Amino acid sequence: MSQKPPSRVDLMRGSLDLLILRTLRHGPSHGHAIAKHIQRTSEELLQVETGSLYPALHRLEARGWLEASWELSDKGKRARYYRITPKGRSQLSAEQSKWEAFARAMGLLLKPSAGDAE
Amino acid sequence: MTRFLRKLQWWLQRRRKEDELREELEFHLEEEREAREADGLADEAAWAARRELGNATLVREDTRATWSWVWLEQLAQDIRYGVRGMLKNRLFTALAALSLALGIGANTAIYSFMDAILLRSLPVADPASLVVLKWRSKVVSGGDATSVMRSMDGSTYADRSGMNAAIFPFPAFERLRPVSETVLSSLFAHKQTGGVNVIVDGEAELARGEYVSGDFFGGLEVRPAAGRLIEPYDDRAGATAVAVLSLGYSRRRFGDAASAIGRTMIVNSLPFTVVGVAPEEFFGVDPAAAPQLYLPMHAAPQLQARSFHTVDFLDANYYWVEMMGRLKPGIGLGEAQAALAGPFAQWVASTATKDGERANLPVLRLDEGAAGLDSLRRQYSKPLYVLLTMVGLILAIACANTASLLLARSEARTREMTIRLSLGAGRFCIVRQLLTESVLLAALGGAVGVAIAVAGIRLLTRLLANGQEGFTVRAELNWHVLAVALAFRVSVACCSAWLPRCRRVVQP
Repeated sequence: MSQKPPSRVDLMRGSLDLLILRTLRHGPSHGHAIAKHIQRTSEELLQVETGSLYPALHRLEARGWLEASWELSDKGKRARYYRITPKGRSQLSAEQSKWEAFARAMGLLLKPSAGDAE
Repeated sequence: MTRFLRKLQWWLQRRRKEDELREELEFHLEEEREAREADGLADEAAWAARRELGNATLVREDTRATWSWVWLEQLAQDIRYGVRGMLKNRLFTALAALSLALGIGANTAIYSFMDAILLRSLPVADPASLVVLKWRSKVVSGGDATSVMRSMDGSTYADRSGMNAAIFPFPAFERLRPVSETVLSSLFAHKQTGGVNVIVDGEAELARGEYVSGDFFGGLEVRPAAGRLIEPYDDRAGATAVAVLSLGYSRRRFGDAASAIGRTMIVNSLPFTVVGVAPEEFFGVDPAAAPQLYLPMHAAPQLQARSFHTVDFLDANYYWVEMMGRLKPGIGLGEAQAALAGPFAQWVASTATKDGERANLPVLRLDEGAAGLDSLRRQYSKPLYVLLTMVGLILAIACANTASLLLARSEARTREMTIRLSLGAGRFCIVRQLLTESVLLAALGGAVGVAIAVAGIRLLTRLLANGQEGFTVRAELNWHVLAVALAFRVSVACCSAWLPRCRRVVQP
């Protein structure tokens, strides 16, 4: 479990919820596909641990941000599909703007400014 | 509230929900395996997928935590398992619980007695502000010609500094009462009557009485259970002879408290009218005495006049009255003592007629009165401490016994623990299970311990009463002590037996 390539970034606390909501904005999906999508889109930098993915999915469902239903996957197997609710959408935009503000602040602080002698 | 409903809903259909959760994870595993096979790792695909998922049971449990009362479920599970284990090892359980019960029971019984005798406060309002008046004189003597205490009725005791007592002449009480008004909100006197003959409806019976001054009940701030209590106007020469009964005595002689009011009873052939009943918890000021009836102080000369030897109650050299007072708010014990000692010394000097008497005058001092008078404490405190020490040692032995029993069993259970660990039980999970088991054992021991404590208190009452009629210490089961003893045993059991195992579990 611990032999990840060093280049990988560990998910920050709380950001997994945002990523799940964001992924589901494109349409309903099941747990495995959500994990794969996050991994692929982040160019394999982010690894979603199964141990935290499913508790997170169920937590979001319990809060009413997601809905779940059993459907057939594209390979014809029964899978639990999650879809985002209107409540989840407003949560997503709130989280997203919060995150963007944070990222911008971090970027401003870490970017070498004109005054730096380099 | 919605959270509660959600959890309730999950709980109601938990079987189906659990199956769904399992199926969801199965699906994930399957997908992962296929994805890895597609990447060309066919041999290891299933294994790698499983490894990536990690501890499947743990994932399921973490997920379930959103939906249900996990701790409650786990507690129920632990208890079920613990009870099964206890039933399987009946001998072990019986031995451990019994030793636990004996330790807890014996300790609780003794402590309850110590509490009743040594620690309990008088059942009156604000007992901390009560003071007892005492004196000390240098020479240990009893009524000989060299002291002003020419005759005494009451208990004295000698220690290294001389003779101590809490009895005074009645004139001393009358002298101190006006003086004390600056430091005490009330000063009152009382004295046991000894056995008196009480006739109610032609039936005679010996009873324990107490003479009380007019502001005895007022000073102690006791409220009557029925009628009224003795007031200052009852306690003067020529007043109507009235009596106040204890609740227990009123029930026994008159059926109940209310119907005793206004009745007449003959005490040592003098008629007294019952005007009131003291509250149930009130036992007078001496836990050893517990009077059944209270009579005004001024009835003493008349009652005693009917007995064989007559004494002059107003004699300044006859020591018999006991005194208590209540400190005014903000006044300390030392302050009150300083205010009263001077007038008393002055008064007592005036009662001395010879040089030998003047050289050995009693000196007034004040003691805390919260626990009442201390005759019982002096009498029984030493045997009780000895008993307590012994029982404490027995408790320690019993603890060691239980500990070694548990230790032996923990050795036998190493295998079980290892299996549970390898099946994916969290370490906290196992430690919690062990703690649950020890608490179960302690609860069983505690339940039996309560029974033993109750029986022990009964036995001790009989032992301490030693055939004395009217022994009135009522020790009640002390729940604080029980809880402390139980907690102590549980912690000992946990530390001595579980700690070695916890260590092994935590660092395998």
